Parts: sequence; structure tokens; C-alpha cells
Amino acid sequence: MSGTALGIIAFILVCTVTFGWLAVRNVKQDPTQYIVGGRSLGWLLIWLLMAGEIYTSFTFLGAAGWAYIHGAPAFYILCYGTVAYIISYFVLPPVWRTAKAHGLLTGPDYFRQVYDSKLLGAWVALIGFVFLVPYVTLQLSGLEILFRIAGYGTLNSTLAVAIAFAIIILFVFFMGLRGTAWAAVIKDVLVLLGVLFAGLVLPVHFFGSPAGAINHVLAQKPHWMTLVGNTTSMGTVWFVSTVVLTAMGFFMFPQSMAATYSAKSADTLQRNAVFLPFYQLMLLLVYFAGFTALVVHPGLKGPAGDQSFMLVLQKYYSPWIVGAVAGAGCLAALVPASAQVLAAASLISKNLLADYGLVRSETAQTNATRIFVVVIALAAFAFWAVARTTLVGLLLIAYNGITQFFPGVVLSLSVKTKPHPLGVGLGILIGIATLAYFAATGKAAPWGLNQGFVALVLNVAVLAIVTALMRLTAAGIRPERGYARPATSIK
Amino acid sequence: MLSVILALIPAIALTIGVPFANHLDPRVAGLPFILAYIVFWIIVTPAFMWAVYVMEHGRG
Repeated sequence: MSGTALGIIAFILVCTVTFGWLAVRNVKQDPTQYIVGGRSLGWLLIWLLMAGEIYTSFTFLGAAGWAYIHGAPAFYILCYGTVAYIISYFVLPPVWRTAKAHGLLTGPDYFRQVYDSKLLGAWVALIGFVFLVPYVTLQLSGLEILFRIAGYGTLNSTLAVAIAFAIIILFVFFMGLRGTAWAAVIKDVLVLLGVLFAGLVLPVHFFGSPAGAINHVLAQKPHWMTLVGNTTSMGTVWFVSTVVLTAMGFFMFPQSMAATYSAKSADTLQRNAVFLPFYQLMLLLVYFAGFTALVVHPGLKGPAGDQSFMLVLQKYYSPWIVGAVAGAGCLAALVPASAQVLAAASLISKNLLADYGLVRSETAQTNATRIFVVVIALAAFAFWAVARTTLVGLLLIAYNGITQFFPGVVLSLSVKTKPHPLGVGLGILIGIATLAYFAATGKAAPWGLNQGFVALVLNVAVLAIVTALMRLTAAGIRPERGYARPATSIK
Repeated sequence: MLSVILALIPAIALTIGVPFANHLDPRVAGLPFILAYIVFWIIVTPAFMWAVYVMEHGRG
């Protein structure tokens, strides 16, 4: 059984890499064909592509896992993506225009440019790198789960994660970013099929309909589908503060900033923002899969919940189906992991090394990027061993840190609100320090708030105070205009 | 200004609005009310944002 399922995964991965490699080889010969080919795709394929963009290990396994372990708090995922698109409508076009005008490449480049501070760029790059680690860990854990389930007990957890680690590195080195973009085509179609199977076929098979699955859950756990008061760790206050925090952080990830720069026009970004909320609805199917698993295969605790519907597949379906769905899931981990790992590594090679003249030639910069690809993958591996938490838990750690960039980006959009770079840098520092405090003490945030949200509030407070102080001192040093003018006119 | 208000409506509905919809009943198409409420707002968000887009750019 393990041979069949693992064999199908291997087949899917080899086909995808071959496809990506062939596509990349084509690109070198004729770049226009590549672009025009992209534009001539039919509406259905475009829709599939965009619907699939949203699925990473996080949505594929993690959202189902949270529906299984926590119930209603998982609904935050539906809300935050939608709110993020609304915010992006207003924030991304001006960011895109700045990026285009100055040829920006990485997320931190934006800070370096608008605040005219190489140091702030390097600082943002460093924090971005650190907080991408849990995101890569998320993909690594996703792969580990899928390999272990497809292995039917023949692979232990350490071996599974070691294979996952090796495949991520090989994938990045072999495919690069362009090959990854093409691999995304296969990934999106397969993942959508996998989600349709898990979210519709499973509940219909066991309970007649998704509503039947919900009724069965409610019969056993009447409070599963509503948020319980604000006294527990995931009540209504947590829900709202988490949606606000993560919606603000959505486009602050280095790989998302880079994707924003690559848009054809500001108009494309706005049109996307208008229609992308529809694709969030696919998450409903993932919840149905998690609810079905909760009744059919109860008893999983903590991170084990991330395996929810995959265990149901393993128990009740043929290895062929397990292999096919797991293969889709592997691509859902590998494709985003590849983009994240490359984005993280380029932060270091560009904003820390190249900007400071530590690497000069393009070859040296490429080599540095390769080295940091391995460094971040190793860091993710180490983090996996230490922080055994759910996939959604890992993503929330990443968001807590990355969202600290939001004030610096959004306030830079108007001359009136533009803060002092020192305020931005110290604000981020106090935000991260707050997160470290919560992590070290294990304390909960006050009033049931999300911890990252508390960090963000302190971040903005420091940013505002430092900016006000810098403006005061600047006003004190420079003579007032009314003073200066008569003095010069005497000459 | 009006466009910002239009965009704020679904954003508020999907953040501070959710605790007010935190009920199981009435069920809508089998979904718990809170989930149906969220799904409803996700479906109408593009309509609000399209209105914002048209106000800023015109139909073309």
C-alpha cells in the first residue's frame, strides 16, 4: 500500500518538475511566447489558477485541522483574506507605482526607497527573514504529514521531514522562480480536485451532504460552530483582532510584495482586489472536510489535527486516492515553499549584502542567495523540531511578526502621515520585543486579544512618539521660516 | 471619500460585525448562522468593491 501511494506522489512530483523545466527551457528561447501564451489561457483555466493560488499546506491541511481542533475560530481564515483584498485595493497601487518608478525588487527595498534609509531596509530584511522561517516550517510540516500518511506507517516522522527538507532544496535549486510559476499551474488544478474530493465526496459519502456532517458535529459538540465568549483564548475579541492583524499583514510578506511589483499595472491589482474574495469561498469545502473527519475519525489532539481528513482517506479509501490527494498536497507545500525560500534568501543577499557592498558581482549575489536558501531551510527544519504546533499556529507566528511592517508601509503613502524612519524602525523593534515577551513568559494578551495585535498597537504608539519627537527637534534646530526669510533678504 | 465608506462597509461587517452574528440559528442552507453571515458578506464584497472601482475609474 505504501509503495502505491508514495509512488503516485513521486510520479506527480517528477512530472511537475519536468513540466516546469521544459517551460523554463522554452522561456530562454522565446520570452514573448511565454508571456503571450500566458495571456491566451481560457477563462476557466485562469479561474482555476487564481482559485488555486490560495491553497498552500495552510489551507489544504491547516484550515481543516483547525475546523477539527477548534471549530468556529477557524472561520477567521475566510474573513481575513477578504478584508486583506479590500485593504490591498487602496494600498497596493501606490506601492506598485513606487516600485516601478525606482525598479524595486524586494519588500525591504520599499522601506529603503521611501524612507531613504539603507539601514531601515536591512532591518526590515532581517525581520522578514526571521519571520519567514515559521512559514517555511509550515510547508515542511505539511509535507511531513503527507509523506507519513502515504507511507502507511513505513516512514517515521524524522525520516519524513528529512525527505521533505531534501525535496524543498532540490525543488528550489532545480526549478528557480520561473519553473515554480509553471509548476503552479499543475499544482492549482490538482489541489482544486483534491479539495473538491475531500470537501464534497467525503461528507456526501459519510453523511449524505455537507449539512449532514455539520449536524453530526453539532449533535456531539453543540458549541463547535460558534465563538465562545471573550474569556477563553479564542473568543470574539480574539477573532476580531486576529482578522484585523492578519488582513493587514497579508500583503506585507516579502514574497507577496515581490508579487505585487510583478503586476502588469496598478489597474490589474485593483481588478484582482475586486474579484478575489470569491475564491475564498473554496475554504468552505476545506471546513467540511475537517468536520467530516471530526466525526469519522475523532480523538486527534493538537498538531495531530492537521492530519484530519488525510487519515480518513487512509482508512477508508484506496492507496491510489491517498497518493493522488497527497501528491496534490505536496505541490501545495512545495510551490509556495519555493517562492518563500527564494524571497527570504534574496532579502539577505540584496538588502544586507549587496546594498552594503559586501557582495559586488551578480554571480556573487546569486551564490549568496543559494547559500541562504539552505540556511533558511535549515532554520525551518530546526524550528520544526522545537515548536510542535498546528499549521495555523505556525502561520499566526509568521503574521505576528510580518504585520509589524504594515504601519511603515501604509503611513508612507501620504506626505502628511509619513513617519520618521527611526520611528518606523523602533516601532518594529518594540513590536518584535512584545512578541518575544509573550513567547518567553507564556502569558496571554490582555482582554483576549491576539498577541500580535497588542504588539502592533505598541509599534504604532512608539512610531508616533518618535516621529513627533524628531519633528520637534528638527523644528528646534532649523530656524522658523518667518525668521529665516528676513535674515536672508537683508543680504 | 464615498468610495472609502463603501469599502469600509464589508470590512467592518467581516471584523467587528462577526461577534454580533455569533449564533447557531437560524441555519441557512444547513450552515450555522455565523458561517452563513460570513459567506454572505464575502459574496457581496466584490459588489461593493466593484462600485468603488467604477466610481474611481468609470465603467471602461
